[in-house]
Amino acid sequence: MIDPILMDAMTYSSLLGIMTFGLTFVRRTTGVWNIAHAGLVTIGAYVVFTCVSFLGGNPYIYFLLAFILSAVVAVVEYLLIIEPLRRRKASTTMLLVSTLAFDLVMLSILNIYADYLQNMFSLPSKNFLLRKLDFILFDEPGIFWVSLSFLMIFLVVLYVILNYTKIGIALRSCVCNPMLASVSGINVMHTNLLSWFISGGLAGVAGGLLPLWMQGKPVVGDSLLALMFCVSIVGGVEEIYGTVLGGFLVGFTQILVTSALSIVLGAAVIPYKTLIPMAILVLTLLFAPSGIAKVNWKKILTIVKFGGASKRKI
Amino acid sequence: MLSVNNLNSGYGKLHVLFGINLECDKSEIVSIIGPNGSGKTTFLNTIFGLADIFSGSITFNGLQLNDKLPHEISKVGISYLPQMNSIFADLSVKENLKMAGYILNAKELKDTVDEVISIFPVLKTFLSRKAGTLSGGERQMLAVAMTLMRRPRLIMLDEPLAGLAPVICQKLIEKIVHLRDKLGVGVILVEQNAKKTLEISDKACLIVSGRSIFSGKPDELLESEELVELYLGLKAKDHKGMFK
Amino acid sequence: MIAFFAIYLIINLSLNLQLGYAGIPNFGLVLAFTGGAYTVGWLPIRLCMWVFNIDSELGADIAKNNVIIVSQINSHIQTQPLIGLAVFILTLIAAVAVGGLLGFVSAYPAIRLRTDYLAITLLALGEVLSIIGQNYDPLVGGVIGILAPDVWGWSGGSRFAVVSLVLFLAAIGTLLTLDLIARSPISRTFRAIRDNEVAASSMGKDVTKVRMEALVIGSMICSLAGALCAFYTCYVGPAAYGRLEWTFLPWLMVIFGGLGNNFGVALGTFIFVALQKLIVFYKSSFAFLPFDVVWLEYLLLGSIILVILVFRPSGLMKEKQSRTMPKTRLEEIAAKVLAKSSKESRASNAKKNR
Repeated sequence: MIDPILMDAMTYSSLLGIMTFGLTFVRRTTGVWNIAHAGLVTIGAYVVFTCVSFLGGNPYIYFLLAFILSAVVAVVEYLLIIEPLRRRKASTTMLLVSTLAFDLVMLSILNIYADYLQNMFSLPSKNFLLRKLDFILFDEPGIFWVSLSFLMIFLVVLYVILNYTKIGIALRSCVCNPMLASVSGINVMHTNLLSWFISGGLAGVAGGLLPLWMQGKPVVGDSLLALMFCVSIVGGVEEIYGTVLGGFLVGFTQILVTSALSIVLGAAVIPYKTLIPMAILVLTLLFAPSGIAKVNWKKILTIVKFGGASKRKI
Repeated sequence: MLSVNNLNSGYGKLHVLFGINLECDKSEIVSIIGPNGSGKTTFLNTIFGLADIFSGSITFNGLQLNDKLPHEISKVGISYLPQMNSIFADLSVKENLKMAGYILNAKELKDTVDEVISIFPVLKTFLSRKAGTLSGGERQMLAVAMTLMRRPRLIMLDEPLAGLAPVICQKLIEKIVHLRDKLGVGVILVEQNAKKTLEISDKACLIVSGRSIFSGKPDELLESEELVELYLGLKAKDHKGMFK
Repeated sequence: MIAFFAIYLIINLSLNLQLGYAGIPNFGLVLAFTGGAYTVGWLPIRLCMWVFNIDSELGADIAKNNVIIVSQINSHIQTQPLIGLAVFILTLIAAVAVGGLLGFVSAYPAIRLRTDYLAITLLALGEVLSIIGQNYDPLVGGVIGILAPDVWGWSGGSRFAVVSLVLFLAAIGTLLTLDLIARSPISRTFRAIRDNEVAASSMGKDVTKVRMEALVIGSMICSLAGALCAFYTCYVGPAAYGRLEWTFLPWLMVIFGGLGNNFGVALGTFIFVALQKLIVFYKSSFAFLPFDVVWLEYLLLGSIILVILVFRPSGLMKEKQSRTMPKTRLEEIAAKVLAKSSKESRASNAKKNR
């Protein structure tokens, strides 16, 4: 049996990482911070909830559907909004606002859908938890094993794609120099579509996992949006493994620090745990704005070891 | 090989080029010169599908290019070296070459990389370096190497000598001439450095305010004192007989 | 509707200053807004308790005894309107100061970074005050919230009209002030930095300092809106200050009205608020729908913005060119300069001839 706090921290960190993968991936490959990623996460949660409510069975079997549906919505977002704006050479701020407006549309539709399920089918669609449907393995809940496994699988797959495959290098080249990419024979639009498809799908899977751990509601994605941005910036956008580092740093710090403080100061500190990622974000921006994945640890270790100056042997 | 007839093009509502005609055959260097803002880059962009064609036609070996997208045009045998941002700064040199040869299969890619490195041996020393860390001259070498990756029959170079030291300029010019003479490639060369460009060109086209006011042999251009002094900033009497 | 139009107009004008003029995407408007509201939740009650000498035993737990304290204060204000007015003005000044400080602190970590990083940072940090407010009861009563003294209680039956008028005048005052700023050199500096940081910096403009100035001024104005809102409702509740209503909707209204055009923003705000009220008014007509009609409203607003962004990104009214001095003044200056230079050239010619 793993220590409950450690298990909690690992599951939470893994979920943060998985949720943020898509956000970082689309930022890395198309240069867009997608606020509507929050809505895509929520779609995943509702796909799993709807299927479990009407078809029954284990929530995990609907993850592929959650992936596909969220991916399709992400592609629609790209085709209807992002691509026309990019063609018009809209600024990054305008692209950000467009994702915000799309998120508002998705939030409305999800709330309408949740109301509909509640009123027509008496389902607890505004506040649901699927933990009791989870399996137990080696005395730990399935979400612990699944979230950790998914995190590692996604990390390896995305890292290999981005760094060792032709399409991955093409994805990186499109954000670096789209005009040169297109004259080199890369269909930039198709490449971007693939990015958004993958990013949306990852959001959908993350959303599907959430109700197995925390309350699912129409704003579940939006309520975690600030946290996702924290993880992405703290980890760093340049390397995909930065998201894992950011997720674990934020997740572990949040849970362990809250746990330690509650022992010293009492349970009153627990509601403030959301401030911890903000503090980490501020520190990262002040001291390592490219994220912890880009920190030159060798240089820091040298400074720590030799007190600022390397000692030369005469 | 390339035939441009009565081309009118621009960007959106902005009409930049008016009735441009140009032909470029294999083993031929055609230079396009003119003052800043005359539409030289727009001309190259138009050929590569990066600007809007209002009227006229562009054909390459009988194939109409008017409605093709840039990534489609890259497959017909034309390569383009843009004026700015001519490399993928965040990718390594090797990845840059791989991207330039995106449409090739694995074996073709490997063979072409070896060929291109034999033409530009200096690239071998920094294959794994990030392209953004190269010097200006090295970047241009890489950019020209990238244009060769798809074994094009026509290369379009937009100010390849800009911002380079004279020694590097000379090396690049030698490479361009080598492409024409040894590989039989057609080259369309847009340059501000009119003197150097005209010395190696087979044809010249002078574009001013979007209109072609001269098209023919470089020495014929240099015969016209007015054109040379007005638009090229050269003293005609110093350059007459340059090509004899 | 007038009150909410006025409050939203002030917020939107502050965003227009930051985003439209200075190019700073402040996704953390809710932070300053909440700061202003919390100032109203914290300060007036304590000020009035001190002025009116209210039982200090009650003051030991203001959150718990909030209702009793506020009703005592309100009955005093009804007979002493000047004190109510003084509390109002002092609190507004404090709220503006709080807003400025919040703007500075939240922007400091990311002010030197790219604008999208700054936007995301401000979005993330925008929630800080809300989290503290919901969990630290002594601030504004925690989740339940707190009543604020009604500084307009002396107006009796016409309270609604008086407050609406005050808010409207405050909004118009803000609009006219910001329009004056729009014609001033500082606005041209903002726009220069917005359009090309490198060029502005080479002209001697401290880009970071100017961006911070825009953010702080914008946050101060936003905080003013929050304070006015709290004084209007006489209630401060952390749950009432969400990112959707007080950051995202202002963004949509400003884009709709036209970035960089204060009057466009006013028009956009009016249309949005009117649309909102219409939907609420006709809510009963949609009672047959199996969901809350408020989501139709957000769906409509979000869709309108998407259409605007794709088809008319400049909004209802485009940004106008920077206005400099009047033509006659420019001609006077030109005449003086020419006269001076011709005098100097005559003097140098005379010297040469000798």
